Amino acid sequence: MAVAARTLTAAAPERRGKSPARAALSRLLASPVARVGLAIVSTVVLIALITPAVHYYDAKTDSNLALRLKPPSWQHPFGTDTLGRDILIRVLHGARVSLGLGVSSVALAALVGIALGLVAGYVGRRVDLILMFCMDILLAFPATLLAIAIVAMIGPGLRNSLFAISLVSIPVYARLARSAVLALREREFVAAARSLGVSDTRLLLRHILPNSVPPLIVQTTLAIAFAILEAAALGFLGLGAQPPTPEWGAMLADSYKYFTSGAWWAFLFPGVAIMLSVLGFNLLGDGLRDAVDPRLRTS
Amino acid sequence: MWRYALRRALTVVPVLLGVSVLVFSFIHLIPGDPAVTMLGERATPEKVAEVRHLLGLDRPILEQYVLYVGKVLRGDLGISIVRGDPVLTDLLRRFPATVELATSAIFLAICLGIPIGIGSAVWRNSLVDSLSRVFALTGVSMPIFWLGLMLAWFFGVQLRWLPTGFRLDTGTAFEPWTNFIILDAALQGNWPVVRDALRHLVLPAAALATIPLAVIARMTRASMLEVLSQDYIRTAEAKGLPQGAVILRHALGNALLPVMTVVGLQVGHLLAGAILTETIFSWPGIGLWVYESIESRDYAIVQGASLFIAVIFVTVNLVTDLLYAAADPRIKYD
Repeated sequence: MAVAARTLTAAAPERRGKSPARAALSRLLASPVARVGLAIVSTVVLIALITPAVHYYDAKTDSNLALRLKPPSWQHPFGTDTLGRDILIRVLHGARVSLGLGVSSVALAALVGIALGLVAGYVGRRVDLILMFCMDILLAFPATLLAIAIVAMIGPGLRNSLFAISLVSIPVYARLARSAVLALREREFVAAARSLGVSDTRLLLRHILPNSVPPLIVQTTLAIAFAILEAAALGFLGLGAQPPTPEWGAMLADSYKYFTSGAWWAFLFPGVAIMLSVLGFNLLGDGLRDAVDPRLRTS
Repeated sequence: MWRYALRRALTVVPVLLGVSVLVFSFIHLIPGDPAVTMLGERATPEKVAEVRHLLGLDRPILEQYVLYVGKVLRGDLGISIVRGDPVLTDLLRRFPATVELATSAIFLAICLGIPIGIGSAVWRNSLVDSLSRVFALTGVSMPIFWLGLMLAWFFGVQLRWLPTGFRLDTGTAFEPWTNFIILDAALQGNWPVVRDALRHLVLPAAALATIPLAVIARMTRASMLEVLSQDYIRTAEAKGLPQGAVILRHALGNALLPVMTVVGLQVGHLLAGAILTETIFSWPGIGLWVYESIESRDYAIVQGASLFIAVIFVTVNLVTDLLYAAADPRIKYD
């Protein structure tokens, strides 16, 4: 009898299987696409975190006209730009600016968008109608155009770019959070919590939000990719980071002025940095989507 | 169907009103006095007052909005502060160049994206599939302005195969009728100009087509995989139909329905993407015009062009929805 009880106890965890989060993580790590994405994203994040710590860089004083437009060499592996600045150093330091802009704008958009979506879905009726109408208006513009128009009006700069990119990213979060609330609010566990007298705020934050996390995580990964591209586009148009800040889009804008001179290295490396970062987040987002909902798996 | 189309079309009206409110508020987002920002700190108070009056900024805000909507409905999108021309006149003059570019890009994206997506789905998990998936993912991750630079540098500067700017070679004598240069030249039988215009179109169209191509290829693949797993396809295969017939006659039609929606969405994004592509290739369309206006703080143009593109975006989405409803009998109209 005792042996039987021990056997049952030992078998219980196996019968329960992995938690959904651990199962999703296993599926994520089993996917080669996601692993490549994770490796790229980890590398970019590490570069962004470590570079400022190990190498001091003052963009305002960085200039050496004697080294103007030197092609890649052992001394300057990515070559130099028109002001004789080492492009490798600027690309590495640019990771912090571009990634920081991408991550912080998405964080802001997620915070506002999820809050609006939760309220719209939970309160419903007029509040839902008004909030979703506002989101529809934002979605009526191509996101890039709206971001460009807003920054053109409020003025160039990193902070304004962050605001514009966040604003155009809010509707997707609001819609996702709202649909999650609509799907969850009639479920038994929500009704049970409500019958126990749990307040609306607590119900939303402690019961509904945690259950809507998977699609929001996937969206966040893909949104960071989009935000990095948008930030680079604004930088390229002279609306984002201002010179001499080492931002990848602004570096491309600078190199564009003399691309006929044959200095291909000046625009190749910042562009590769943008593309690889965006690709990394897209691969990771695709992998996460497959891992979170295997029914959506595309292969 | 007609009732559904009418109801769906009516839902666009409040959205367009909301769009007009947002575009109207653009000018009020400018920090400080918009007139001073446009004219610069050295502008005389008389000139500032004149511009404030021209923009209607000296009236109550509600009145400003009502006047703005009234003007827009009459086709008045304001006056360019720098050039002094009506915004709509300039917009319509430049629009054909953007349409020519965007149409070529979407044509290229459809012609390449759909076969790539079909091949990827049919030969699933093969080398073709892996290559096309890598290509599609790289495509959606590509900054188009960077790709444009690379194409211009490689094919224009290094190989000297293709021109890197403008719609025609400088010195080409040609009087377009409608500003759709290729169409006009073809109608006039001026084949050297057609060839010249096509050569100028290749690089910007290729750059602009990259993201839609990747998105269409991904969507076609996913949709085709879904359709190929359906029972009726298995039945068709069990009947002994050749694979080509199963794909082309039975699967393709249904698989392309969601692709249609994606193509519709891409049209709007192409118009926004044109701002970056036209800047790289000095393509004299709406995109380059907006870029130049931002530089010269000609806000009426930014406002007018934003409204114009948003209206096109909403209209294209509406048309896509209606076409989808017409093409897919499973959609209920209630």
